[in-house]
Amino acid sequence: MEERFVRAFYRRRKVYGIRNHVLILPTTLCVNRVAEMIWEEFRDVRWGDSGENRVVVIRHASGCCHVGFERDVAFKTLLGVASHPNVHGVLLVSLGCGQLCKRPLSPGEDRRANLEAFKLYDRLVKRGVKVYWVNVQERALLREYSDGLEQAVELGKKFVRRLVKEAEGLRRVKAPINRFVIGVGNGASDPTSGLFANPALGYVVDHLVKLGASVVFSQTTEVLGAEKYLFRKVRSGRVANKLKRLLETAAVLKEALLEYLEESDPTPGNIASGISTLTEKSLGSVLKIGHDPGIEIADVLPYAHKVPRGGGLYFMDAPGEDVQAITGMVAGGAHVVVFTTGLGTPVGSPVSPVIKVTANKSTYERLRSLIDVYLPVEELFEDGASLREIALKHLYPAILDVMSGARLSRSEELGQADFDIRGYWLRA
Amino acid sequence: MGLPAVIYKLKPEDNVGTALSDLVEGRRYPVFEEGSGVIGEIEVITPVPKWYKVALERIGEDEEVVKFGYPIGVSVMEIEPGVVVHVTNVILDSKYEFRELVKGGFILGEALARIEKGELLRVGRNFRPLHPSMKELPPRSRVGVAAAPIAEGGAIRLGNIVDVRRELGWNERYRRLVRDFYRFLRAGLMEFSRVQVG
Repeated sequence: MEERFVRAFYRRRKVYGIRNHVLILPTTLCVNRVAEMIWEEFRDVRWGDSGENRVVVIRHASGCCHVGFERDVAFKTLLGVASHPNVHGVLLVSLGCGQLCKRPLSPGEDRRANLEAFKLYDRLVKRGVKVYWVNVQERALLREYSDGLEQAVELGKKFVRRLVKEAEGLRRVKAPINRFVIGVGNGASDPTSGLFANPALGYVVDHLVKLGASVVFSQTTEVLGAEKYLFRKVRSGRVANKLKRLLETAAVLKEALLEYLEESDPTPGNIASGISTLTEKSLGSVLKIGHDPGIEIADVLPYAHKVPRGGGLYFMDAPGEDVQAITGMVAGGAHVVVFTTGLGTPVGSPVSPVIKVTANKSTYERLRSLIDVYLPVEELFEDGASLREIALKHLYPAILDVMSGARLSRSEELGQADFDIRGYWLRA
Repeated sequence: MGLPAVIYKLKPEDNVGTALSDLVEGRRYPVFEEGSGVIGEIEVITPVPKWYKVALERIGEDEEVVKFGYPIGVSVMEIEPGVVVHVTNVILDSKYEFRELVKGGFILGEALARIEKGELLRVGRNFRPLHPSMKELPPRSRVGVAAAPIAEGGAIRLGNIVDVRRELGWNERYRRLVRDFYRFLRAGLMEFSRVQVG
């Protein structure tokens, strides 16, 4: 396989996906169990060259009683993940009184009466996503069912069977890397993350951006302290203004929060492991966005906003917390997320593979079932290899392999379906 | 871990390196630069725990400490080569502190005299407006109540004052400012491109 091509699924809505999943998505948290009941029949169903495609179910804590724009964020995230390029088709499971997706129209009902209620379904249809919908509080009980819940579950299974059959027919084709979005993140860090793993990932990011791929990074709270470093990668005034406003706000909130918690950053744990200043800590994390001064930050995006395909480095506003950051980037359309770790973490995503990278040998040896790639940093000292060579030799091909479906990421093997939408405040 | 006892330097311009294992006081250790290999040796004159930084050259007082090719702070005293560099001798330079980025937009004014907690703030009497939206307020307008004692000449910002009590009457402009502040906080989280302060 040439290094600038991967094998991917081409969809009629003119996107390439690296997986061909069927997604069962509850539109509100109340029906998580119903979605799970539908999914149980398909728990072990796999298809594709190495069995990389499956029926995935998302269990989440959103969809009802959101206040203000939190609802829009939840909506945007669910819409983003349901229309994700890695998803062949979606089964929406709604309760009927949820905030984001109310019951389907009954015949003769005026569609204009409550447009909001149908937005999620409508948007998916408009985007050309294969979508089915079952509703638990359905009024008309079909003759063959004695119970509404049973009806919803059986109907759901019927729809999913239909989607799986279609999905099994799709084959991979050769696709250029510049049609993909790659997310990067880091979490459960230790000193090896800042010294080796993140700078190594930075070299891969430089390479990907040069090949025309889009790369997105996030975790706003973790870049605080390294703002000036970020601004060196910003050319346009528009992006600089956006970034400045975003970081100012984040800094105010973080300052207030730390004051309230009577904590400091770097934390006592950071200081014990040799980190002296906030800038040093943040730089260790920010180096993953690349070293090439010629590559600029193309845009700053809100949480779960669609990442433009066609190349460039993008910054998404998301919390430092791993699952929420990954969820935001995946909802923004990241086909795959590359995640560096020092201590090891099993984190994954329902629709995109999460490739975990470490430069800590003992973590790799102890937690082999969590970690995809070990960067052999001892080669630096023994063979005189540079960090860039090690990264491009060990990490880059692994990313392409996972994307092409030649191998599964550890997160997929473990069946990780971590999904958490960023929240802002208490619910009504 | 199979890492050698070297001092690891990430970028050529760094003046500190990282110990990849515990270094013993008085011994000489190689300095390894990423991409170029061993570039020299240095005698460590204080014990250096694993992952801690060591000065590779003499760093004068108030000079930048450079790691990752970027200043991570300034030295508070002269640091000899081979000395451990940590919170004892380096601090975050105020130039790089994120608070600096914040201050500009959130200071409302200056205290003209010492203000006690609970004292009413009035334009011209004990409060000199600095924020653009407060500057047009007529003299003696009530702008809030101090939530904490504020020293003479101290900054009055959203944070150390609270709302004007209702019975004192609302200052419409101040209320608008507070509302905008919270809108800023909220909007900043999601739609930061539309934010307006004041």
